Amino acid sequence: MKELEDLKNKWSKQDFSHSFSKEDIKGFLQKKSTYSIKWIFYLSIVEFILYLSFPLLVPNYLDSFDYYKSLNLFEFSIITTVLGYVLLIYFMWRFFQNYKKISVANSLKDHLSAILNTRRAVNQYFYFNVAILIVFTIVVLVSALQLDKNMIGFQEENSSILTMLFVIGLVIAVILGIFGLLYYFVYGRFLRPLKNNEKELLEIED
Amino acid sequence: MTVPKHESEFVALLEEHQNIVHRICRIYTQSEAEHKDLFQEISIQLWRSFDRFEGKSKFSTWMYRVGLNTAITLYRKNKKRIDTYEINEEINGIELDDYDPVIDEQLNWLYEEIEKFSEIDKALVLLYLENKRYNEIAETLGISTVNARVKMNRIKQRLKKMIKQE
Repeated sequence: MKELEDLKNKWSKQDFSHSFSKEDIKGFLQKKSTYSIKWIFYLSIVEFILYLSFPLLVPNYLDSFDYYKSLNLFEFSIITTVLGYVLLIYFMWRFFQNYKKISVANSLKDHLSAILNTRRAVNQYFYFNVAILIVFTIVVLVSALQLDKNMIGFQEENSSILTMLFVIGLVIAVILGIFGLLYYFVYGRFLRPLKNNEKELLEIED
Repeated sequence: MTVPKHESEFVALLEEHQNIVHRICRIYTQSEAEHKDLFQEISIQLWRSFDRFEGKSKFSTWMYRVGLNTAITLYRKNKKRIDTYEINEEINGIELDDYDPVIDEQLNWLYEEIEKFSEIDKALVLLYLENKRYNEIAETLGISTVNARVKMNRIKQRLKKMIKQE
């Protein structure tokens, strides 16, 4: 089509009023980059540290193992704790591996994927952690209802048990809600358009 | 091809090919200030990854890749700042249309139309207008050559339709 060729010609001949000299360009190279994937890196590291130090923030954390022992859940509690740290190490490793792959010299698809995969490693760790927390809470609760004298007493008053289950459910929902909102506002604004771009590029592949 | 790694040689190469960066900046920004910001950022990113440029692809192909990656991921980051610019410009009574006045009316029209495109389509239009081959487009975007061809045909159809409606 002739019009398209004309347009290409005009495009190739266009001049820009602000042509930069060698000195201008040298000056640019001395400036600090504002392009920062690093803030995702630092925020993710803070998140991992928080997960790692979580037991230290819980009062009487070690004493709780005695309680689990009384419920015959000592091994289970140790296994879930170890599993939590194994997952933490695994996802931290995946996070660093993906972060190392981020390079503006990659193709656009690889660049977007590397950024998103870096963050996905942290998000997936969070989901696994929540899953472990929920399973752990349910198992402890079921055992406590059978073995903990106080809980057995509680059980006689049906309304108290229901209230307690409701409170536990509510606490978990609130924690998930807070994290959800944090993720939405802190990362969503930056990552959502990248996800859309990745999706659009992948659609080309279909 | 011997690849120069010294700053002065890099600066000379960038000065020579700067129109590529200007075109990327013109498509992805809406004001002179943003244009300069993005140009500066792309220059820094090009320089930082220059050591890893092995000359396997053309210097210009490599520039498109780094430039587009920077523009597409940086653009959002500065969105807040861009909004502020827009507000300031409104206050100062400066029209955004005054941004980098291109003498050719049709090019001005084209830039206005491209503004409505998605970020990926902006990249495709740029590569089409730059007369890039399908394999270069595929390499820059990280898609297969066949799909680059399919997508490019869609963009051509879209441009044709736009020209008809002009």
